[in-house]
Amino acid sequence: MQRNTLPQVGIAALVGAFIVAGLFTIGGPQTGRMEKRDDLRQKDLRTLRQQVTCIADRQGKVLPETITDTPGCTRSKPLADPVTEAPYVYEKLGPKSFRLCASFELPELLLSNFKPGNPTSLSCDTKSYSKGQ
Amino acid sequence: MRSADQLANFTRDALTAGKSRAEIADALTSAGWAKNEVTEALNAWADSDFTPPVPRPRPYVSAREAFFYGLMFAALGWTAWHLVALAFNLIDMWLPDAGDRVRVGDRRNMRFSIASLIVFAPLFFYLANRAASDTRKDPSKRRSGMRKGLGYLTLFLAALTLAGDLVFVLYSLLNGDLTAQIIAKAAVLAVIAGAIFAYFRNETMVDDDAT
Repeated sequence: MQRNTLPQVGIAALVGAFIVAGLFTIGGPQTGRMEKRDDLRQKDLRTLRQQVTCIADRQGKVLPETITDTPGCTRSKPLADPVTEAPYVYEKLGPKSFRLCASFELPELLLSNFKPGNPTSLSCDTKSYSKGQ
Repeated sequence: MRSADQLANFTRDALTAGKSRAEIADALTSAGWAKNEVTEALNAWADSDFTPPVPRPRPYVSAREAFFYGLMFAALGWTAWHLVALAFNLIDMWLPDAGDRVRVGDRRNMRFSIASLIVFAPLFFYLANRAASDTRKDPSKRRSGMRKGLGYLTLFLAALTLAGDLVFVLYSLLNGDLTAQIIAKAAVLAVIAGAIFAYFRNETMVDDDAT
């Protein structure tokens, strides 16, 4: 059995090294909770984007100035961050363009379509409104 | 009657009748039995003058051994799979190819791999050391059919992985895709499969010597 010590120690060392490297690289439970909260924020922004498109569809193909209750657009509107309760930011950039912003805890993990907003603590996703064109 | 039974019965009867091993081997060979079949049939009986012939111990299968070695090899398989998965995900992060990005889903998979390794790697090492200790105390345990079968299955899979790894490296080279990321992944896979192969080659060699 002595001749089997080396492979066994090698496998154990690899397991230990990759567990430590993995935890060091992706973070522990706190980072996991941050990721989940950021997922929720992204989901909220997707819902708001559908809400904006729905309102524009029902208001003469014109993007709204603010996100308001509109008949026919009954989807729930998550207007504020569920953790900090800071309001999400909706900005109309032009007749066919808008962006939705939130403050994320791990902005470096967001998709590349998210860009820093104003202030830079916000990350914004710019979208085009193409209905009716 | 199966031909293996016919062979075993003939060998036993011939030894009981006082025929020498050389005579039995000649008779079987001239009847068309292969050399390894003849050797195996004769090795089933102890080489002594005692009559009736004394059987040698044969491999066996027991429910307890099936549970023990089944759990040990399942733990090894789970450990190896998640060790490779975690290593590949980390390499993707450390050595990204152009256009690569790590998704949040990958990070969750990595956490699952870490959790799997924390549970299954110690379980495998505990069971492997327990098996080593048991076989040291009682060498007859080396004749466990489950132990031999799963040992050779692991060797087979490890050898196949090493060969596949080499194919993948050569394919990537020929295809012009041999990046640092692929080299690192291939190296890690070779080390893991190589260590498992070395471990079970040593074990099966000792087991074969014991029968």
